[in-house]
This record gives sequence, structure tokens and C-alpha cells, in this order.
Amino acid sequence: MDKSKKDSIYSKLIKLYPKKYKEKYGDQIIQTTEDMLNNTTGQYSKILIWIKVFFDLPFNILKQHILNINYILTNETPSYIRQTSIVSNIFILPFLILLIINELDIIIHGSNLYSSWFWRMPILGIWVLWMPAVSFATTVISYLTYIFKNGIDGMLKNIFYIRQTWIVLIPAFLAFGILFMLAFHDSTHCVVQHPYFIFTKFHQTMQCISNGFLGGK
Amino acid sequence: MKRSMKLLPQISLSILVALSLKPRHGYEIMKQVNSDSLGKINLGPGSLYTTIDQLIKEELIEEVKEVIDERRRYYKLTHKGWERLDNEIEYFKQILKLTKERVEENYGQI
Repeated sequence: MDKSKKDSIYSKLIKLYPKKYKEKYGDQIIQTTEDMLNNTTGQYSKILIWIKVFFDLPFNILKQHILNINYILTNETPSYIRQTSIVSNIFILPFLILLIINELDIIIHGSNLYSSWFWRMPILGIWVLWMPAVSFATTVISYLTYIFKNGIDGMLKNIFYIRQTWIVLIPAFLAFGILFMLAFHDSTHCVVQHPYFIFTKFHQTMQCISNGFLGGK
Repeated sequence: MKRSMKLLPQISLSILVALSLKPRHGYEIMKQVNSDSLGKINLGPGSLYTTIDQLIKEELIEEVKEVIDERRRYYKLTHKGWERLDNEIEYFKQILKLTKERVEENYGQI
């Protein structure tokens, strides 16, 4: 690999640092690498420096991103968004844990937990339907509060400013996914056979979810 | 050293020691750290600036305001940095003293 190609890959790697960090130290990192190369003689030593640099950088880029996320969460994200995120994650956790335990049971023992009390009503309805529904509702309320915090004017800007809201958007999508899958799950005996029907036959969809999970007909 | 104060990580301490001689730029710090540690600590530029950033946030070092070299930034110890370095040295002195006493007392007995 020639020098210019290595330099180009290196500058691209530097660009992967968080913006503020890159602005502060990007040129200094390049300068220090140049100093290292200029103070070394011999092709072999230079190759060793490049190997060291290319191994060192990705780990530190990742570390800076983690520190950056931590900084945003503690200093920029509104506290109600943080709290809602914790609550909504707690509410979808039982679903994820029980699903994983069930899959592990299938893989390890060749059996499943369908006959256990977790999979019987009304417990099943709680962790499969109501807890994800509460999680979804909480995150949506929190996100809408954030969007409209500056009134209608700042709405559009806030919708796409996910830097501060991604921690509620992830559990929101997860909870929505659980509820969406639920609508088409065999056990709900739904009349809905196509995702399109969830919009055109919304009432029937909701009815068959509640029939399946609340013990109705 | 205050009981509650955590010990500095080895790389951070090495950078403070390297800057205790004079203000230095990145590559100079790297070389000094390598030399002080008898070749055992070999920093890459990514790790170096991650630690420098951390030390600046903890107000243990700062950038030298006067321009010494246009292309390179120089760093020096702050007052807090000197105090911290002094505390760390005191701690290591105590540990060395304790270890020495125990070795003298017990060497050959165990």
C-alpha cells in the first residue's frame, strides 16, 4: 500500500471520531502520527507504526462515541425522556426475557414453556399485551411532549432531532413491533391475514387481539 | 492522599510524570512516557489523545496558551495536576516503605 493511500484511509478513520472531539484533536492526532513516521527510519519500522496506529484508532473512536453518548444522556437529554426510557424498557423486558428463556429451553432441552403458568391467561396477557402497550403509550406521550415543547413552530425540528430522543424511540419501536406481531400471531386467531388489514379493519384487529389475550370469543 | 481519591490509571500517571519536566506536544509526551516506563508503555496517537482529553476534563493538565509551534499543541500540568502528582508519589512511597518492611521481616521465613 503506498503512502497516499494509507494517508487517505487514515484521514477517513479520523473522520469517524465524534464531531467535537475531531475538531479538537483530529489535526493533532494526524500531526503526532506524522511525527512518529518522520522520526523513524526504515520501511519495516514505518510498517510497524502503521500497524500500531490502525489497531489503536478504532478502539479509541468507539470509546469516544461511548463517552459522547454518555455526555448527551447526562447533560443534554431532558430528565423526563431518560425516566420514560427506563420505565418503558422495564415494561418490555419481561417479554424479551421470557422469549429468550423459551428459545433456550427449545434449543437445550427440546421442550418449551407453553404449558407453564407464564403462558396461561391472565399472566400471558400481562407480559405479552398490556406491558408492551403501556411501554408504547409511555414512550409516545414522552416523545410527543418533547416534539411540542416549543409549540407548533419548533415541532418539525424536534421530530428529527433524535439526538436526545433515541432512547425513547428504540423501546417505542420495539413495543410497537411486539404489538404488531401480536396482531398476526396464530394464537390470537385473528381475522387479519395481511398487514394492510390492520388499517382497513382496525376495529376487528383490536377485537381479535383482545379475544385472543383476554379470553374472549 | 485522601482516602476517597481513586488512584490514577497508569497511562494518565505516566503522562503527568512526562509533563513534570516541561510542557510537551503529543509526540514528545509519547516518547517520554515510553522512555520513563523503560519501553513498557508504548502509546498510540488515539490512546494518547483520549487520555489527554480526560486529563484536561479533570483539570490536571491544560493547553499552553502561547504558540510555541503552529502545527503542534503543547500541554502542561495545572496546579491541581502538580498536587495530584504529589499525592500519587506519597501513596507509592508509603506502599514501597510497607513492602520493604514486610520483605525484610519475612523474607526466607515463608
